[in-house]
Amino acid sequence: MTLIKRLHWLVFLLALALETKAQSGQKISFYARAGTSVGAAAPLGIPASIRKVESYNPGFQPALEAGLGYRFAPKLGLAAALRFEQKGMRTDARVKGYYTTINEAGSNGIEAVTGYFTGRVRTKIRNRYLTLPLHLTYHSNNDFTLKAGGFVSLLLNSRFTGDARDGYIRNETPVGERENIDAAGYDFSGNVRRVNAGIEIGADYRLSSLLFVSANLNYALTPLMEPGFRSIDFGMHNIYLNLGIGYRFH
Amino acid sequence: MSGCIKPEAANMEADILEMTLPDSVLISPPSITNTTVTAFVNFSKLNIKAVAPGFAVTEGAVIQPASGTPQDFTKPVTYTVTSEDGHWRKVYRVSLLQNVAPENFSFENWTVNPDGNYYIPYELVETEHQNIWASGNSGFSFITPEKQPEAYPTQRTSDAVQGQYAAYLETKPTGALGAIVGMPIAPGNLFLGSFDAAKALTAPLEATLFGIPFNKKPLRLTGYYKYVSGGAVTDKTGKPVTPARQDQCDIYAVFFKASPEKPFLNGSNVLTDPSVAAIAQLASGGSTPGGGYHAFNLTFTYKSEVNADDLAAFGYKIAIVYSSSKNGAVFEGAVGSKLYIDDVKIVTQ
Repeated sequence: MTLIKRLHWLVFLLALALETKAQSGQKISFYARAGTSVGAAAPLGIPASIRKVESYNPGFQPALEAGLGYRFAPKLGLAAALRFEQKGMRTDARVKGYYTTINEAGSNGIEAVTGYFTGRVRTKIRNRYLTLPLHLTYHSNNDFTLKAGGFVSLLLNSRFTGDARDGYIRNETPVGERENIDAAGYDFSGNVRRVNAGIEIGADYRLSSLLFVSANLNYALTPLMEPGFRSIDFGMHNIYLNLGIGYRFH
Repeated sequence: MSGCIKPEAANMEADILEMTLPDSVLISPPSITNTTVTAFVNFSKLNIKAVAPGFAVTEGAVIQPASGTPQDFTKPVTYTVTSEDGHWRKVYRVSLLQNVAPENFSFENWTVNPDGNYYIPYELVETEHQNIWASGNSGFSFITPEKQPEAYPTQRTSDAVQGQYAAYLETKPTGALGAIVGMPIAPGNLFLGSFDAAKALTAPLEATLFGIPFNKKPLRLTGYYKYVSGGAVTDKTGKPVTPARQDQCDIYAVFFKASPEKPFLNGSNVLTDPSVAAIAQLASGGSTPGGGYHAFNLTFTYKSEVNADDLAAFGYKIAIVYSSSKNGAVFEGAVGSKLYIDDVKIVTQ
């Protein structure tokens, strides 16, 4: 929570620094924005080992952002921001021959069983990032602003846990020793990549001279998990839609 | 999201699920592990050089030689099962045992199980290789990263009464993963029967399947052992039990009437099932004095009459069980308890 406090402080300082400039000309504007995200850490196309997604819960994934825009042409500009955001979800899936590792909480990777699991897999993801988005903006004559660009995120803290239940695992290979599993947990929190970067597009719609609503869709080009992570044999990428409301300082 | 679900992939598994032989031929249901199939057959009712067992395998998998083709089972026959997707194959060693199990066990012959790299003893009866001993080692191999035969709870030792080897059982810790599933220790155990490794974590008492066919009436169980208790017993949470007690070993034999509904006993009923006809058990399993072996001579105490016709028709089974921790089946024991066993005999009528 100290982080959120710090962010508030940062927003305040930014606002103070920019307000004078913003008042002198209309080229620079400053805004603050709050929103919530819906999305997933998902493979490109669901692998064949996932037979059915029994449930999906996006949860509440807040985002807070402070940014500034610079208009270098009548209709074009650049925007940059500092964003604190959480990306997460919960899923419950039925899997068949799903390659995974079952380890003890806070694993050091040694006390683990790796193999092909058939049964149900529950996944809980909640990663917090400090993100720097950079956009090219297009300001139309109507109330829309279109944005396209990229983002770089730094992982602040991570949770990637879950359990395998009501099934069995084959040790190491699909023909390895079979072991029935009632419920066994896994924790890959330590294996989430520190840096997450990708592309982002979005649109703002002006409600008044001060207020706007916005939607951003971002897709991470870097995998969610660190290089060398083999406990799940498909790559996962963050893909999230963030919906929010903003306040523009003039 | 279900719209993105891909068509089900071809099966990767390659299991023998079932082996079938005419009922009159089988003395006891086949025991199937991940890489072996073993069945006692009535040798007077078949030509062992041309037996054609039927096999049920994982859906879509293919078995070679094909199910139902005659094979010479004078020695174990190797079958290869290839998965439906064609990428995985598993080799099984299928044994039809036509000789009666031995009455003397010297623990001279040991083989390394390829699945887990651990030792298991076997018996040689007129050159027939009988895989009649089982242990919980395969469960241990799953839960701990250890891969050396000497790291397992059940192994061999050269500290023997006679011959080169004896059986050596030691209660081991199972590490963090074992503690999480409420199995902080693994006792060394060795028994006549088979181990259903799939149940090792979910129903460990049912994983130990006790008993092999036996057609003589046992009177006494004799042999040599030495035991070093590992000290105070801990429970399945790893805490000392109250009241505190010292770990003990267990040595017993159970003679029981098998039935089609209950062909084997398991860890939950081996001493208590109504089918039990007789039990021979070590009275007290504390540490043995001195460093040497001690003889044991245990009398079978009969609870019910033995039917001679059923006995001759292999209607009875016998199980001999050794454990380095007496309550090890429920994960109570002391790490470091060591049991040595050698030169065991079943004295029959």
